Parts: sequence; C-alpha cells; structure tokens
Amino acid sequence: MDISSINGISNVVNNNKVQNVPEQQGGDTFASLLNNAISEVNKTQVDGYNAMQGIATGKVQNLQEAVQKIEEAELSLKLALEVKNKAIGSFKEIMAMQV
Amino acid sequence: MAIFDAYDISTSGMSAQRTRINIVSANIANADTTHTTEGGPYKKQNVVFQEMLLNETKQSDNSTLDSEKNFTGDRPLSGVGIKQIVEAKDQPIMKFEPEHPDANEDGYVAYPNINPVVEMVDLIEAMRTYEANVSAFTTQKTIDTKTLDILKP
Repeated sequence: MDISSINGISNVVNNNKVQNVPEQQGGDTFASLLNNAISEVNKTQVDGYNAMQGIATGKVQNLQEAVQKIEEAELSLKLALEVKNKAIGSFKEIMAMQV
Repeated sequence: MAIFDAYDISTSGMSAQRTRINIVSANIANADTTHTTEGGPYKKQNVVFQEMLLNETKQSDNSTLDSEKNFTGDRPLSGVGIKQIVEAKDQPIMKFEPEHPDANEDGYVAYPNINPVVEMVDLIEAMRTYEANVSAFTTQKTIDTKTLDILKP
C-alpha cells in the first residue's frame, strides 16, 4: 500500500514558527537614551555653573539669562534625580519579588 | 529642551524691559544735557519692541506631545526683542541764558524736551512689566517643580 505523504504539515510547521522579533527600528537602545539624558543634564549643569561663576566674578552680561541657566540646571537635575529614584525603586521591587 | 521654552520667553521679556529701563535712565540722567557729541542738546530716546520668534530650529523636535502641537500649531513661540531705539522728534526747549557756553548768538540755550515725570512713569511701567515677566518665570518654575513632585514616592 502506498502511503502518500501528508503535504499540509510542512506549511503548518512553517506557519507556527516563532516570528523573529524585528530589530528595533529606531536604533536607540535604553543605554544610549540614558547616556544622552545624562549628558544633557551634565551640559545644563556646566552652563549653570558657568553662569554662577559669571555672577560671582561680576563678568555676567545678562543677569536674567544667567538666572535662567541656573534654574534650568536645578530643574533638569531634579528631574534626573527623580527618574533615577524611580528606576532604583523598580529594581528594588523586582529584587523583593517572591519566587 | 522643550520644557524650558517658557523660561526663554520670560527671559526675553526681562531683557527687553531691562534695555528699556537703561534707555529711560539715560533720558532722566540727560534731562538737562545741552551738549552732545553730535552737537546740540540731548534727544529723548524711545525703544520699539518687536516680536521675536523663538526656537525656530527646534521645529524638528518631535518629542512634544500631539496635544501640545495642536495648541501652538506650526508657529514657533514668540518672545520679545528690541526692534530699534528711536530719537524723539520734539523741538528743544529754548531758555535765555546768555552766560551759558552753549548759548546761541541770541543768548538762548537749547535744552532737551524731556519731562522727568513722564520718564518716571515710563520707568515704573518698565519695572512692573519686568516684575510681570519674573512672575511668569516663577509660575513656570513652580508648576515644573510641582510636576516633578508627582514622581516622589
């Protein structure tokens, strides 16, 4: 008796193959995002510090812009700190998870 | 950074008013000046403000929310700047002072047509506008700090 091979099965197997997760399109990894954010915060810190130095030495041309730079530095540092606290908080939550 | 746009606007307003205060102070200081480098009495100066579009280069920044884009449209936010400083066309006030070194052949001295009272009112107005800009700045700072407080556990 001639048993014909089951033709459909190969299709099924192919269809059920786990789809490859497509590579991230943006190319922005979490690490690079974090790096960019930190360097941005650092830039505002340097600007703010330079502004403070300008005020202290009396070399400042534009007081209101110096104050603006200092405020921006303070706020962006605050934001970065809060984000860091959140990230550490989530890490602690995961470490405290019962297994 | 888009969240700091409001500070740019307020700071531009402060800068503009500071320039205005400088100009008005010069007018008050020179209210009796009869001799200038260009010759003739000092002429009263006025500042002309103009809209200054901020962050035109930041238009490509697509990190802002769609809802925010709808409010501002494609138009960049506008701060304020100094367009130019114009000299008033007022005729000088002639006073009879024959002993004065700047007196003309008839004995009259040309004094600038500056009313110190008007200048003081201008100064107060500039100061109040400066304070309003400071208030806008402080308000923005307060709401930003309050928003960051949401993240606090």
